[in-house]
Parts: sequence; C-alpha cells; structure tokens
Amino acid sequence: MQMAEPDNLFETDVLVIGGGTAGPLAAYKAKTANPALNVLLLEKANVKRSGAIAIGMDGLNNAVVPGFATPEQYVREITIANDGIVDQKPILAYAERSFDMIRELDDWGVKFLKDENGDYDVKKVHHLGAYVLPMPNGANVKKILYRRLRQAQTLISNRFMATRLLRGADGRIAGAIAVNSRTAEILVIRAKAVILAMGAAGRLGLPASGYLWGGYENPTNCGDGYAMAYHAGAELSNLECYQINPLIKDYNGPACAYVGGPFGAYTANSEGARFIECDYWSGQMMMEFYRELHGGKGPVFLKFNHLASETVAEIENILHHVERPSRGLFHAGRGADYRRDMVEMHISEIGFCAGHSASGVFVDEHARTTVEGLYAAGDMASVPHNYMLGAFVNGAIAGEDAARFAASAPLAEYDAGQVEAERLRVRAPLSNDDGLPPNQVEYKIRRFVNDYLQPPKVTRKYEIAQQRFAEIRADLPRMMARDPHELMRALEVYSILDCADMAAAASLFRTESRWGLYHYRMDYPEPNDADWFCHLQLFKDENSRMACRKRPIEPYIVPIDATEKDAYHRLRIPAHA
Amino acid sequence: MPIANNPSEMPVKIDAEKCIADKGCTVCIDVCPLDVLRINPANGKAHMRYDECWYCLPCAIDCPTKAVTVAIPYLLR
Amino acid sequence: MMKQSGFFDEPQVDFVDLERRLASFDAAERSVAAREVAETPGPEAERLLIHAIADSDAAVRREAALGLEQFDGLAPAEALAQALLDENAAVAEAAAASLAELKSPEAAPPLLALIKHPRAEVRIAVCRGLRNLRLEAAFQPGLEALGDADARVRREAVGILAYLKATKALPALVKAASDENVEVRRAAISALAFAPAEASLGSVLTCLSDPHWLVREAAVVLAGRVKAEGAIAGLINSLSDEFWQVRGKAALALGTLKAVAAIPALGNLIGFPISNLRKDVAAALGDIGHPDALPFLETAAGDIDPDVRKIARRSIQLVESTRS
Repeated sequence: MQMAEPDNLFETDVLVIGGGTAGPLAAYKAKTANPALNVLLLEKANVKRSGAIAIGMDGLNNAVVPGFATPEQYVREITIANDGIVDQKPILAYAERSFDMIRELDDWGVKFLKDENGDYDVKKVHHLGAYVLPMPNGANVKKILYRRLRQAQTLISNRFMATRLLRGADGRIAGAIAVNSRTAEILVIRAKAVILAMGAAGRLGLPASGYLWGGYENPTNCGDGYAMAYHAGAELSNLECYQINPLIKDYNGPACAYVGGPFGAYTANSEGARFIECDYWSGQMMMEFYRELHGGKGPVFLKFNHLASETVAEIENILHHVERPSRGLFHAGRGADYRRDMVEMHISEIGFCAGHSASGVFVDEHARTTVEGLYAAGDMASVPHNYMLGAFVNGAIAGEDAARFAASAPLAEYDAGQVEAERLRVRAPLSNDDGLPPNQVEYKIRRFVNDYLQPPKVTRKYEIAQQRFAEIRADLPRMMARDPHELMRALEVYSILDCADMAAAASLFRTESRWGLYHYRMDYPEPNDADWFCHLQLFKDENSRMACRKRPIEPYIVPIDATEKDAYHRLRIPAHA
Repeated sequence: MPIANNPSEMPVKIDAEKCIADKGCTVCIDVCPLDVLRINPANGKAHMRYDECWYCLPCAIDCPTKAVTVAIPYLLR
Repeated sequence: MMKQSGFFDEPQVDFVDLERRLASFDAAERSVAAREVAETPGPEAERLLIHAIADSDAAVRREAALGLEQFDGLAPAEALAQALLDENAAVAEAAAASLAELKSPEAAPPLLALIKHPRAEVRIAVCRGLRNLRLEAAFQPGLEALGDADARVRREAVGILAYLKATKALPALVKAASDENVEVRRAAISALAFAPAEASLGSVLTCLSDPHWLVREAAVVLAGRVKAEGAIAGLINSLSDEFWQVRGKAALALGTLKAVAAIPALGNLIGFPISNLRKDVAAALGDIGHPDALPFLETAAGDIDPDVRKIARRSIQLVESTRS
C-alpha cells in the first residue's frame, strides 16, 4: 500500500495539536490575539467531542474565586500538596487568571452553579480553602468551545493524528507531521509556533478489568504529546510523579471527593468509617487509599447511604449525567443504589497527567517548553494539579504567547530527511501483510506496566520492565494495520511504549520516595530532601538516548512559612484513638 | 502468520429503523472520540465497527433520533 | 501555494447548499441540515434557524430551537417565544432551554408578553429567561408571578426578584419564604442572602421550624451567612433538629456567629453517631474560639474518624491562638 504521491504540505503561523480542552482555548486566544495569523487546530478525533471532557465536566476543582480564595493562598496549597516540588510562577500565572476565565466561560454559556442571587456557589472541600465550583449542567462545554472556534475562523482539521514534530536547522520548532485516521494520507505542516495540547498519557497502565478502553482517561489520550515532545528534544518534568486515581471498582468513574464531598459523601473502609488523613487529592491521599484497600479493613467504598434521599437525588443528578453519564447505567446493571449500598472502589491504572499530579512536559509561566517556539498546555504540561480550568487558562496563555512569537518569527527551515524517516515509520504497518496486531502489542506493554511499574516501585522490577520494553520495541516494526484506523492504533502503541520507558527511567533516577504512592520506592522508602528536593528532567541526549538530570526548584515567589507547613502537617498527623 | 478473529460483544447498538444516516446524518460518527462508528455500506445506516468503546455516550446523547444505545462493555459490567 | 483543499473543515459555510437542503421534501434531510446550521455562527445561520423554527416537521423545529441558543437579541427571542407555544412538547422544551441562554435586554419584550400565558410551562420558561436578564422592567411582572397559582412559576419568580438584589423586592421575598410550597420557601429564604440580617430575621426564625428539613437547612445557612445575631437562640434549638444535616449547618452558623452560649449544646453532639455532624461541631467549636470548648475538642481529637480529628486539631489551634 505504499503511496506514490508526494506528501501534502501546508503552512500556518500557529499550529495547535489537540482539540480537547486546552487546545481550543489556545487556538481561540491565538486567533483573537492576532486575527491576521493563520491558526490551525489539529485533532485526531473530532473537536465536537474529544479529549478528557468529551462529554462535559461536573465541576471545577481549582476555582480561585475572590471572596473564597486568593491566588497566593492557592499557590501555597498546591506547593504543599505537591511536597514543595513546584515552580510557583506558572501556578500563580494560572491562579491570577482563573476567575477571569470562569467569567469568560460563563459569558460563552458554560454553566456554573450559582446561588439564588446568581452569584457563584463555591463549595469547600478541603479544610484550608474553598475551590470547588460545581457545574451541574456542564455537559455542553465542548459544544460551546466548538462554536467559539468557528466564530473566530480558526482552521479546524479533524481526523489528523500528529505523529512527530519537525525541528528547524536552527533548533526552533518547524512544524509537525500528521496522518489521517480515515485515509492514511500524510500531511506535513510547517508552523512558526506549535502548541501541544494532547492530554494525559492515560493508556499506560491496564485497568483491572483488562479492557484496553476502560481506563480513567479518554483512551485517545495515550501519551502522543509526551512522546512527540520527547522526540523533538523538549524536556519533561517529574514523570515519576504518576497519576493514580480512586475510581469505582470496574468502572472508570472518579469518586466523590469533589462532587459528593460537599454533600457529605465520603470514602470509607469496609466498616463504613473514614480513613483518609490527607487533606488534598494527592499522592499522600492515594497512599492512604492504597493501604486501606490492601489492609484488613479493605476494600474501600464510596459512602452515600447516610445521606437524605433528596441529597442523594441531587448527587445522582450530577454524577449520572455529566462527565461519566454511563455511571447510572453501570450501577443499574448491578442493582446498586446509593441510598442503600456503599459502592466498591478501586485504584486506577497508572498514567502521566499533570492535571492530577505533576508529570508533564516542562513549561514555564508562558507555557513555553525548552524548545523555542514549542508550547504545551493542559494535562500534558507540567503545571501541577491543574485540572480542567488550568487547561483553559494555560491554553489561553500558550495561545497568546505563541501568537506573539509567530508574529515575528519566520518559518524555520528543516531537513527533509526528518519527513522521509517519519513517512517510512508511519507507513510501515500498512505494508505488513501479516505480523502483530496493535491491540496485542498494546495489551502486552500495558500488562508489563502493571506487573512492574505500578507502585510500590521496586528497582529490580523496574530493570526487568526496561528489558521487556526493549524486547517489545524490537517487535514494533512487525506491527500490521489492515486499515487507516488500525494504523492510528499502531502508532499510538509507539507512544504508549515511549511513555512506559520514560516512566521507568524517571522513576529509577529519583532514588527516594516522594508524593506518597505516586513515587513510593520500596528500596528508598523515605523522602530525601538533601539530595532530592529538586525537579527531575527527562530528555533525549545528544546520542539519542533517554537521560535524566536534576533541576533546582525556582525560588518561591509566595513564601511558605513554617507555621503554615506545620498547620498542614498537623492536619495530616495520624492520631488514632 | 494468519490473524485470528476473536469475537466480542459490541457495546453500541444502532436501531436501523430510527437511524437517519442515509439522509446525511453523521452525528454519532462525528462525535465518537474513539472513531469506532461507520456507515454500514449494506444499509446506509450507522454501525459499530471497532470494539474500542469508552462508553462515554456522546453517540447516544447527541443522536437526533435516539437511535443509539450503549451498553457497558461486558468485561466491566 | 500549498495544496490544502479537502484537509480542513471549511470555516466558510456553503449557505446556498444549506438553504437548499432546508427546503428538501424529506423532513429528515431538513433536520440534518438544521443541525448543521445550528453549529454555524453568524447572522445568516440565525436567519435560517428562525425560518426553520416554523418548519412543518417537529424534529426540524426542535433542531432550530436548540440551535438558536447561541444567538441573542430580539429576533431569536421572538422566534423562541413562538416555539415555546409549540404543540410538540420536545420543541417547546428546546425553546425553553434556549430562552434561558438569552442575556441582552433587547430579548425581554417577547418574554414579558408571555408572562401571563395560560400554560404554566410557558410561564416557567419565561420567568427563567427573565431572571438571567436581571432587568428592572421584569420586577413588577416578577412580583405578580409570585402570586401565580402554580408553585413552579412562583419558584422561578423568586429567581427574577432575587437576581435583581433590589431592596424593594424584600417584602415579596419575605412573604415567599412562608409560601405553601417547599421549593418556593427554600428558594426564597436562600435568596434573602443579599439583604442585611435585620431584613431576613423574621423569615429565618419562622423557617427554623419549617415542616421540611430542606427549608430549615436553608434557614440556618442563611443565619450564618448574614450573621444573624438574633437567630442564635433559634440556632441552638436547631442543634436538636431531627435531621443531622440541619444540626450540622446550625453548628457551622453558630461558629460563624462566635456564639459562646452554644458551646454546651455543641459539646453534647461530640459523640453523635454520624461523623459528618461531629466534624461540623468540631469546626464550629474552633470558630467560636473560646477555651470552654477545649474539653470537647480534646475528645474530638481522639475521634475514630480522621476528618473529625483533623478539624479538632485545627480548632484547638484556633482556640489557643485567640487565647494568647
């Protein structure tokens, strides 16, 4: 099936890759900041319903609303929640624009919970600040974003999967190569600035169900962005700080912390008692969850059955209609009723996602990566605990900065060899008449991820994993695709394997334990501030090998005084009766 | 090496009576993030072609004629 | 120039083609076209939708009504108001949803014209639409709608007045707080949050002994929000409400009010079986910040529930810091 026609070439000023949450905001803000620019938004599914919020979102977890929280307070809490390993500038940049973004989205028609007087009804979930703004009608977010994009005359190209970035001879970003998932046509896009907004790496671990598509993240978010940034020479930060979430057992719906919490629901052990000490959704909280799950008082449950029937109805109205609307279907299938039954919970597979943890492509407060002209935003960018609103805000920051950059930079010249090499890699599975089906290769990688990489982390297991991954890498050229759709899956397998390798390398490099369960190394069980109070940068070295280095923490701009840290830790100290 | 076909139950079902794909509607096909739905050349109606369902439901919710039903995949049910 | 046709979803829509399809003999084809128009911005799309909302087929009318949600001003409001009267319930429902998206004052006249329509569903949708406009001109009609025979209309009418946050709305809201319908009472008492404590005190005290727990809960929450000193005795009474949810919110309100007199009654709840309430009580004792609470907080600091322990530790710290 080798195609004889030359690759299609397209030139644009700003290229945004990923049409989920951060991507549309980036494209919209780039275009409105400078309408003279050509802005192209590339999406491998369809912008109408794609990305982590394909079906909407039930609330904001990190709304910084005046009267409820201040940007500085938010920065302090995220700093503490992430064990101090943060660059505060991008967090502050987010927090300062958080409220304006809420109002702008509101103006566009996105619905936030309001009280009877029409003011934002912010809920308190954590003990130290109020940041939760429910979105009981949050199912229409994508529709609204789509209309905005069309209004701004952004070019949208659906069904194109970007596979590699192009680097210019001068080191700048030069564009990207993409392949169509319906036709297998290859498109070369030259761009002055490129924004990666490709979501989490959610197809890394295998869900306990064994169903490849049953993960927490939208399965299209398979780590393409992480892999592309890596191959383009950008640095990635703290990948060993995995994403692991508490989920309903066998179902990929998240638990109650942000939705049920304000209504009085909580996570309980088999005795119906609370057990979580930690105050914030963090690795520490997941560690406590993990221990209870595997301890004598496990498994762990979601407890609603002490609440009034009216309250449960209100919760169901949100949980079963927004973000995971099939949740009600799942419970009905097992005859579970929140009013009567506690619902069994489990722990998610591992992944990368700065939106929930801190693992991402390194960006500064302008969303710039370490490659000139290359930006990253949303779940894949290194701003920690950023969630949906962070994706919007940092998408906007990236779009505006990229528009400025693209206005003055010429297109970078690139070596045609990059395109030729990628064309051969991309096309290979279509040329194989027999070989390995991508789903089998994927299953095997993700099973090994579970067997060897899932925390607690053990050095010897990680070394075995690296060996297995290397063996599978040698198998990749044997992958076959019978149509363009299978080709897309085959190419995603490359990203999954790259992410598995990066997870292993980063975890082995940091020889301490940190972030609770996210980076719990059994052979280095304690945190070691003297040697490891720093970021870990992963990158491709000059010999094209995966390498890691330490990067110092930028001096805090919002100081954390000792009493504050104490106050937080006092909340955390277990003091059993 | 020959390729085996392992059967699995398709979670997405489309009522051909209600489906108006033959009138130019492509809503469910457009909105599926996993891109697993296609027009069935046999009858011009939409159907599920790849067993890669995230049971996220845009196909069912956005369908203008309520022709689409999604079951939780059996492995999870 | 580079080859690019066929790769991009064209931002320039072919309206001639859309208009042709909207005139098709096949209703399904028209509804597919209407949906496409609905996803398209611009005045041309608005015009086509306003035209399509009068289609002979209900599915087409519904698509048009849904699509008009993105447009604002008099013309779409008129079209939607007409669709609100549609014989087909799905069309009317879609029109009601889109009416709630209107924001500009120009959209008000067609809504105001329907506020006394014989069908309650119409009046409900109209009130909901007017609420979001926050329009002075809607005050009087809103006031009258508070006397509607249908409770669902009265509930929406509360919204019109409450969003205006006008002092002159207070008597009406106070009256609505003793409506015969629970949802109206709940909405009205919550809506009084914009007024000073004196204005709502009477309503708070009445609602503290409301027959429905959701109204009692709203009343104790309001007492805390507006810092109603005069409600302290009533709030202490609410600490023995039959619903622990009300007790918990009453405790938090007493904490906000720094009601030292509530400490013994709060202390009695420190062993309550539902931990959510123990947590609220521990928080309230800290907010009050008086040393008399310390023995209770010491007990709470050894609770079996970690959230209660955490809050108790924080509260002990708060008490100690106010002391020094």
